[in-house]
Amino acid sequence: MGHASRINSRPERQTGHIVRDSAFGLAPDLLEPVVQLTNRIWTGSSVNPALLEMVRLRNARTVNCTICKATRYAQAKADGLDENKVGKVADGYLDSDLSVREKLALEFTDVYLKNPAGASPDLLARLRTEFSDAQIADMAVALTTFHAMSRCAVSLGGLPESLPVFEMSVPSI
Amino acid sequence: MAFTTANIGLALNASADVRTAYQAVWDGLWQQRHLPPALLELARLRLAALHQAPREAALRPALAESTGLDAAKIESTLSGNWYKDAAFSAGERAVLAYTEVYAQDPEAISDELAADVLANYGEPGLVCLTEALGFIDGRIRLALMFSHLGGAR
Repeated sequence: MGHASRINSRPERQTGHIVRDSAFGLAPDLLEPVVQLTNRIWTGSSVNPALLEMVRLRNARTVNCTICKATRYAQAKADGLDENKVGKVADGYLDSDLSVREKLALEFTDVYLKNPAGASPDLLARLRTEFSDAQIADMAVALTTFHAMSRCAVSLGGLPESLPVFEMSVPSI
Repeated sequence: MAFTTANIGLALNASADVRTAYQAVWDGLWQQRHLPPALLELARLRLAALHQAPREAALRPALAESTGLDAAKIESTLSGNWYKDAAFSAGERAVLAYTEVYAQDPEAISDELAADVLANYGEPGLVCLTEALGFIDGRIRLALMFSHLGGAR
């Protein structure tokens, strides 16, 4: 059973921006650079949106953020991500028919989430067979941002037990 | 190369734009007006200890120099003895208790822990703290991960 929301207020000035108008908007000094970063991750990344979405959903699943798990970004769908592939982000993905590149991205995600000190030069060598250093950096920043925001949503409470899948666009700046 | 929250940007140099946006969040965290920087520095130290990240725990960043934390308070935070140290205020205790559970499992944060933070810092303070913990924890994770990945970049 999830916790009731710990935050009852919303920003006085509603802007039409889904994140700024949420509880996050109560702390705008920190939120503004986060909004800019999130936009940069999706619009300026050297990693394609479908793969970023797989990383995001693997994180959402691990953190158990119900709203993150239910969200599908339109940009990832337009890049070819479908529900069949989303289903393969589950445990056991290493035995799935996902590509080597996709499996490596999820393995990178799991190391970050479960044991970051367990990363090894072998993992980096394998990552470099599929990703440039810029792509590894972009994927790392995307992952750490997804993780921070999903944990924030869980911590502040008020999430439903489950939600149907819904599609939305990445919030603009 | 060994990374900490202070130099993790070096591991991200290959992607200048994203690195810059990520650094702006870190800088914003220490400049925001919702919580005193000293509170976030205590949280950073506690998270470093919980992640068993000795380089991070030894870090005394310039941004935190003005926080006024003394060596004894830092040691109590790192060792986990803060809860029995009379030098810690009610607000600092609320933040550290919330941080410790956050680090282990955000779903385990109780209403009482959240209420203690709310009582001391209000809703903006709780939102800011929770968001900040995510980026502090995440930056420590990235530093650990890239330290162990190795490789020149």
